[in-house]
Amino acid sequence: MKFCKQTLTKAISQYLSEAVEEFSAEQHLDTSFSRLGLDSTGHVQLSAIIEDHTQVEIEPTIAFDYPTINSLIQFLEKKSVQAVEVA
Amino acid sequence: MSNTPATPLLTDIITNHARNEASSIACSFQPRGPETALHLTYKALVEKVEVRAKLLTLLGYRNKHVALLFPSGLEFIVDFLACLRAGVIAIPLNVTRNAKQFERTLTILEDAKVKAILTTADTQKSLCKQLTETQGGHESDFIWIDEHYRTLEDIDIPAVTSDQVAFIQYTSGSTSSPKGVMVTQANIVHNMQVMQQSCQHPKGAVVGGWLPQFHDMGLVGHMLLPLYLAGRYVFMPPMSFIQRPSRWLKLISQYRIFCSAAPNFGYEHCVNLIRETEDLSDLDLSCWKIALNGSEPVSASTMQQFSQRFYHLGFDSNAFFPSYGMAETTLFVSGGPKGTGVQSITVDKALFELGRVETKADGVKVVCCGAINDDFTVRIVNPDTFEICRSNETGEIWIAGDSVAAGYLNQPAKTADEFYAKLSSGDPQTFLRTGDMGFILAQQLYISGRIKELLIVRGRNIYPYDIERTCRSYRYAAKGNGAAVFSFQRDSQTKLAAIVEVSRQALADNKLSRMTDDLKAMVTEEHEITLDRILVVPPGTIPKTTSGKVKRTACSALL
Repeated sequence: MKFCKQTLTKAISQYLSEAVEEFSAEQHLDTSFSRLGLDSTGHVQLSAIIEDHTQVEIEPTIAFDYPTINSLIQFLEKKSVQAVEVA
Repeated sequence: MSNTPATPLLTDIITNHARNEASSIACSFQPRGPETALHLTYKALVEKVEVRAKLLTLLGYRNKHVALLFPSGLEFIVDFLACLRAGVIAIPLNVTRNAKQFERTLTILEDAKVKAILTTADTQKSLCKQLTETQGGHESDFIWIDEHYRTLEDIDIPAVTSDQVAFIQYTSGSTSSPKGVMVTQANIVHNMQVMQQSCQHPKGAVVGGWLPQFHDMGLVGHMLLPLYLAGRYVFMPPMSFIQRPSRWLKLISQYRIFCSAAPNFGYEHCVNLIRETEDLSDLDLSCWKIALNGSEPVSASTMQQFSQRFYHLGFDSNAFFPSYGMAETTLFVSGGPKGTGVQSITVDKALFELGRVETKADGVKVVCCGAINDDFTVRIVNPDTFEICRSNETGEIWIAGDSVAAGYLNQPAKTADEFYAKLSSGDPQTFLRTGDMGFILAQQLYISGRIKELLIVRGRNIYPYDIERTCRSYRYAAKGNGAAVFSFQRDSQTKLAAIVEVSRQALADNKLSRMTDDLKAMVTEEHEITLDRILVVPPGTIPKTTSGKVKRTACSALL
């Protein structure tokens, strides 16, 4: 699994700014999606965005388990390192 | 009840299919892409069901309540049918994601006095973690029966009769007072006959989609119906649909699904989230003869947008099948006739709000929920006087028929009031009170609203009291009954709002935005619904009647 941290963060931020009011990419990297007011369908949509970027299957519930932008990205980075090691 | 001993049970019917067409596929589950599909033939299904039914009998669960907590999959079908086969009363529930949500499961388990839980080993692990995080329970309070439980002992399974309760559907009712609808073996078979008749399902019909298996429409309409018809139940996890709604349409096209149901939300999700750029040109939806829309208000405009978007894939707008039903009637009450699409009438708005139905060309549109199946007696009744309404009046929908369930578990008073209501005329016929308001025109049913305190927001049934309770548990909430949750209209959409009273000290110490964010997060985590507007106010601000009831209309004005 390969992805560009910057473009993915941007894509997630882009989605959040459309889905919730008063989202700020600078301030909300560590704010939980539910605190931002994202509903459950929105959480699942984040998994689709990540799939599009990483081109691997992502659990639909990933954003419930890693509920902030930073924790999501960290998890994905870890996962991609593991993937390289296994390869 | 007009059950003669000759009435076959669903499991007898399925066993019979296994004899006649052993190698036909009964169920197909597709967790991800087509290559991941898993299938069960009728022969394999019945063999597995027999093994599990023997195990449950040996363990002594006949006539006892057993919860089923499964992720979407074939295991649930086997264990649910095994319960039916062995006379074990199944309680299907959804697998929660966190401890907060598991608290609702716990209230249900307590309500039904459940000791044993059928599940998978993986699910058990995650649920036990949630259980230890909640204050209410310990892992050891329950007996967990997963796929590793086996028995080699061979025994006869005692016969089950059609008046026995087959399963309990927890669906309606708020978290604080869960209501379990007791559905009998006879109810199931009767509702299968009703659906077959109203939808004109051919023998061997392919039915399915993405609806969850633990809830009435997915359970009775998608899972049990095709098994009754010697057909095929095709399904995928609900989450796969939410993630990429085009998967639903792909499933229908690939397996040539004849009948697939969804609440209005499902059709809307397709319209909103399937991108114009997505290549679906391989799809052929001409097989989809019944696109059932039920369990929440049907929107004519959603239906229109959907058929405009997918017409070129062979979707026929006449396949739309608005429908009415509920767990209390096993599932189906009205819908169709097949092939008539979305029918509606326009009525005078001002009169309609007063409960009168007068057609008017430039009035408000009311979508028809289809023809009432002949096996039901439906009356429109004044909910205060219990008199039958005039034909041009709206009233509460009362229903009688063999699909009407046996009542609510452990709630004799509520059962007497709501399942055995009688008209003021002295007619001995008893009726189910649905709590829905509507009217009948030419044997077709129309819904106008609800009496029950229930909000429907973005396809979800919301009990304001549940969310108010969550708000009141906020650490800065003022003491007393200081929270009001209600819906309001904005840009022709229904939105959800809360007004929460917090202590004056908290108002002085904290930024308002911090408190509203806290509340938003609490509500989303517990109920998976977002509050569109939140006001935090000092104690005593929420408008109430003299008896202390929240005035919701006055609350809307505060926004």
